[in-house]
Amino acid sequence: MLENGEHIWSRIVNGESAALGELYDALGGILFSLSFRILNDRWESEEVVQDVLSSLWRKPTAYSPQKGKLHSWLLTLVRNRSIDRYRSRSRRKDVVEIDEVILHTKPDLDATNAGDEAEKTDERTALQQAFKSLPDDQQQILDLSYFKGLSHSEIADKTGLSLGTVKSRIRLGVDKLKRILSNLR
Amino acid sequence: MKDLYQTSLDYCLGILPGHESAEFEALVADDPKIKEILTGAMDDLGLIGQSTPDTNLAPDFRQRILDFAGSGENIDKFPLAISKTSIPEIGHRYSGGGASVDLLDIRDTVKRSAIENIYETMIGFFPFVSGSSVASAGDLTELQEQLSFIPSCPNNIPLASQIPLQHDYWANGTNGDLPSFSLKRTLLTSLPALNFFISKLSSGDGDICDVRRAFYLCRDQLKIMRSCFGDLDKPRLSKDEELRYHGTELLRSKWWGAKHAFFKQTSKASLGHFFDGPVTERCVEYAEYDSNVYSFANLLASMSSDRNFQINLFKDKTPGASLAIFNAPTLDSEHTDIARLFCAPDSTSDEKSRSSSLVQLVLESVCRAFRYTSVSDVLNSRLVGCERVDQTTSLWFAWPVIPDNQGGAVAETSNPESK
Repeated sequence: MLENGEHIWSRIVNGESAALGELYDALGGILFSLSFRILNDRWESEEVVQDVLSSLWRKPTAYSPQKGKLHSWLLTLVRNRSIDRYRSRSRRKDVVEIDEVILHTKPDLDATNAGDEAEKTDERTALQQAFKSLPDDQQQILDLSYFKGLSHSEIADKTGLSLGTVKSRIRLGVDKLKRILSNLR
Repeated sequence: MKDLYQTSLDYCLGILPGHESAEFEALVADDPKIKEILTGAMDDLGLIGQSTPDTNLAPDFRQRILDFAGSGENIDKFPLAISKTSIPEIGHRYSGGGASVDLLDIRDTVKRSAIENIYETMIGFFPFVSGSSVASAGDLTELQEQLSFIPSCPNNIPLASQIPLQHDYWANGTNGDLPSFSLKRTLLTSLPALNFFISKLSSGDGDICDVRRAFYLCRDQLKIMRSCFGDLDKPRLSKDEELRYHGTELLRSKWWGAKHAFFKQTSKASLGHFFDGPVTERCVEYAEYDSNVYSFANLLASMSSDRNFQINLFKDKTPGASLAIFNAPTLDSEHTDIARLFCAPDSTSDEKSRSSSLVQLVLESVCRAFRYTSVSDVLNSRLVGCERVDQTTSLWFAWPVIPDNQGGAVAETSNPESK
């Protein structure tokens, strides 16, 4: 993942557009993929990533190293804005009505091209495999919590699990991903 | 510690109740150790984000991001004679819908049929260019198959040049022929560019960037048509009339580095200064605002000497109004031709008639938005204008501002920027 985030950020603060390009090269794909995972809409996901990166460019002091790693901060922003759009879209049924007339095929979410494959880090590959290897119940809870933005009580209602179980499965899933990463390093 | 870590996870996930969130933020501000737990939780949740499957990016996406870094203009660069005085109080802010007529107000059944056909065709076309379509991922097979069923839309465009507008509109704006304006707004704003991209995709020359452009144009065309003809699609129009603020970022997303076309003239848009904040209060208002943007974009697209034009949005330069300013390099003769359109209508040729109509659409709209009664008042107030600075033509229109104490776009969940 982005190891020199603080340095890139300080160059963005100084107005170096090349730094924005480097940031995009390092994180653009991950940010877009995350937003697309939540929204399943390429144009909306592009808008989210554009908004987040352009916000950082216009107001770089919105971030500071005291707020954590730059890539984690950006992932959080992208995730939260995507969830907001997902909720807003769910409330606007007219969009659903128009898009209902379709299309029995959907884009292949796992699609990659050879060039991108070569650049993907071992860490990211390991994390992707680790997520897939989580028990189904942990994957489900993480999906509802992280990718759908449901609260613990909403997840509990949906799955019939207790609040405590929901929280512990989120923790277990996160802990496992941390362990994989730690072993890799 | 475990509870604080759990609280941190919940905070980052945006699921802490409001009062608990505020309490937690206060704790974080006071205690570096708690802040460290919070940043750790954010890093840990980021691992989930990093585990998402890869999705291909559009080939132009990187450049669109970098183009943004190079944008930004100062209005002082263009010493335009815009209004610096407060606009007279207009009472309740105009929020769209005033241009609406019924389809039956279009007496000519051929034209009425054409409008209905265009709308139904675009409704059917829209899903095939949406962000969840296979075309958006680069596979255009299904889209091209769908396009083979679409009748040739450009056949409807000549209708626009055959619709006369009463010349006395220039003297008495409120006597304007609204059905004709609705017809022209439908046929001359986003539709010409949409037709261009449909043709390009249909011929096999298109790519994912064209699919994206077609999506935004199609969405705008549908909303513009609903705002023009109130009985065209009442259920969707009622959604368009709901309160929903539209911010400048919406315009930025679709015009950012966008290829554009007005009939045979192609061009490219760039973005200058864009203020942050809402522009309109409802989709139906946004559709009218959008039609003004398309009108001036189309005008410059066809007359710019290098086929490029720039869009800027400013606020607080004219009290009570936001300003959309469009710039393009022009030759002296090109600017003269454009400037003439702001003095009187011109129907000496199909091309001049179309260009003239574009100016009239903006004047009529702004006249209504600020409750003026004549076009000359709008021009004298400098709420719409055309000027030349150096070798650049600038067009602008003003729009009623949304007061600062009102909301912007959709609210966010937990905001890392507040930590």
